[in-house]
Amino acid sequence: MSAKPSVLSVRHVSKTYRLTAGMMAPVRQINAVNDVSLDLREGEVLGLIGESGCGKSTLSRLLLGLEAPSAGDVFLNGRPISSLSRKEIARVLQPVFQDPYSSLNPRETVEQAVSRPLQVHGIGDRAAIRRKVAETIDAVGLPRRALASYPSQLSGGQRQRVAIARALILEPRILICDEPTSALDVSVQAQILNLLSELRRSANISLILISHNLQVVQFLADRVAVMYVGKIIEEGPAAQILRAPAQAYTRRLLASALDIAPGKGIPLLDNEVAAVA
Amino acid sequence: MTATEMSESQPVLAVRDMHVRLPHRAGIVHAVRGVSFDLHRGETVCVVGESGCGKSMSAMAILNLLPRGARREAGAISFLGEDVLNAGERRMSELRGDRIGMIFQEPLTALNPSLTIGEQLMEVFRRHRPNRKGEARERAVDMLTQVGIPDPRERLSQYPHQLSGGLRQRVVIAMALMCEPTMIIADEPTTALDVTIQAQILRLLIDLKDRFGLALLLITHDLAVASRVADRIVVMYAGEVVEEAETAAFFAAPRHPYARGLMGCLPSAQAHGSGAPLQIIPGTVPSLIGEISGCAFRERCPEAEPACRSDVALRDLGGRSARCVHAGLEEAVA
Ligand SMILES: Nc1ncnc2c1ncn2[C@@H]1O[C@H](COP(=O)(O)OP(=O)(O)OP(=O)(O)O)[C@@H](O)[C@H]1O
Ligand SMILES: Nc1ncnc2c1ncn2[C@@H]1O[C@H](COP(=O)(O)OP(=O)(O)OP(=O)(O)O)[C@@H](O)[C@H]1O
Ligand code: SF4
Ligand SMILES: [Mg+2]
Ligand SMILES: [Mg+2]
Repeated sequence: MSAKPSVLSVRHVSKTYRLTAGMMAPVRQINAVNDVSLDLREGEVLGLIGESGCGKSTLSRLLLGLEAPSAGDVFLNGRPISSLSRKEIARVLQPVFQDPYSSLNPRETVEQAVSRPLQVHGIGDRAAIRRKVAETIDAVGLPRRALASYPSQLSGGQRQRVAIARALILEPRILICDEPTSALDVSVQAQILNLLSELRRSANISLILISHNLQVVQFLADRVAVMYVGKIIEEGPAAQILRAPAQAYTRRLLASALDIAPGKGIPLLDNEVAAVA
Repeated sequence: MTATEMSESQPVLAVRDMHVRLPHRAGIVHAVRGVSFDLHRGETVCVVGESGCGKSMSAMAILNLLPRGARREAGAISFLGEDVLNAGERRMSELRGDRIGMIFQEPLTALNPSLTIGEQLMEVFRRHRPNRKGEARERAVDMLTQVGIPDPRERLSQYPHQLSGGLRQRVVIAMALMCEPTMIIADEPTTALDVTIQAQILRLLIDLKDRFGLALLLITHDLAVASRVADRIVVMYAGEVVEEAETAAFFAAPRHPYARGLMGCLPSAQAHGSGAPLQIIPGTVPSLIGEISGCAFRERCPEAEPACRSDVALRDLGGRSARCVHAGLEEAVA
């Protein structure tokens, strides 16, 4: 395992936001990410779990180079991400965001949205772009007829598949998926999970998977990191963390996963008290 | 409460043979194709089904909130015995926000960013209860309390962006409750929220439903959630209802091959760490442009046979129903 090179690494990164509640109110600071160090190895799936507001999405924005850390460094293939251009990063590293509503331009058809990255990077002639777009649309399980649709004409789950197709079209080496299937029904979720798993096997893609669905993490992840108020509190092989977590917090998190249980209602979760804010 | 509302057997909502057609570049999308179901007082019905199968369009059609250019047709849509299919938009706008509460996936679209929480809650009440305007403020505080929002009085003067996603969705629920609705239609109300918040919001909805005897139509793609909160499950596929059953019976033995396929897709249904791919339902939903003849699932169905090429009616299986040529034959064998 340790022989594989690290494709994305963070060293002691922190991100602090300043909050001003009003003109007269004192400035408060939020340590959204607090001294995190992590390595993503080639061909590996790293699951990142933790409750709402613990800093997962903030960390993913730092990893994508979309925001600069307040302290610490992010390295992409050994080079500081701050020294790379937008385009250089996009060729190897692509995000898939949770929200399929705001991540698509309402004025672009699916075909335009999915082919745009190829045009921006000047890859392929017209025919090659068409072919590649069609292949990618097939791969995410969208019917070809969806190509002519605008986002408003698609259902929520269909839009998320468009977002995934757009991330895959440049054949990136690393995907950072923030809740990639939480808007999808189970049959589409299964297709997307198989697709991600297949990409890893056939193209040796590395993946950071942020998900609150522990079954999804369990299916895909080799390693799991547990985040709690901005810090990684536990990290290790997925089987070990998900079956025998060392931290009480992780145990509570695992207990909150819902399974099929007719008539059982929604149980009161231990960690809910902390979440009411 | 009127005499008709009191009647036990009369459903709160009855939908019969509802169709929705939408214009699209490539032709007319027949998104909802003859949907029928009932919803009773105090009951939770969950609608599940593949993305794009027409769940949201069905909800929008009932509420008369379809996108521009869409056409709705139905044998009947009645709410508390009243014909709302032919009632017209003026009557519907009286019912929406009053007797019918609505909760959508993204709370931000339901809230006006430039008005305070208090203004929005009070506005709903004043519009529907013009002769009780003076009570609006107290009612708003009361509803915020009911949905578990701390410091409700202070919240009245806050704007939506000053609240977290979970709190915003609570405000939307409070708004849906302002006029004591008889029915709530909730379309993926917790999809955009984290698990912990999701659990709170769902528990809140169920609790309110029990306390106020509401009828709840809940659209969700989460089978675990549906199993835990629904009294009945309605499964949609390609714009049609393909199965309907009481929750326990449904999860014990779904009768439609599509519903069985859905259960098989759950990551928990697979052997852990086996490395094997998840079971999927091969193929994609058929185009909803133009008419579909025969069973809409047959291209993907492992049990398809020549008879499936003819139209398949929803079969009554005694307290449940399924739209499949094999439905009902299992018992004969057993
Ligand atoms: N731009 C910002 N300005 C101020 N505070 C922010 C900003 N972005 C995030 N935060 C705060 O940082 C903390 C971490 O947020 P983040 O979105 O990373 O959490 P998360 O783990 O992704 O949560 P969720 O599971 O709900 O998506 C939260 O307290 C959040 O309110
Ligand atoms: N404005 C529109 N114009 C044309 N077609 C539309 C429009 N909105 C939705 N559709 C189509 O109607 C069908 C039903 O969409 P609907 O939004 O009801 O699906 P859904 O079951 O709610 O799916 P999801 O679970 O993904 O939200 C889909 O095939 C969709 O592509
Ligand atoms: S009617 Fe035929 S094709 Fe349709 S679900 Fe039943 S067996 Fe499958
Ligand atoms: Mg997040
Ligand atoms: Mg929908």
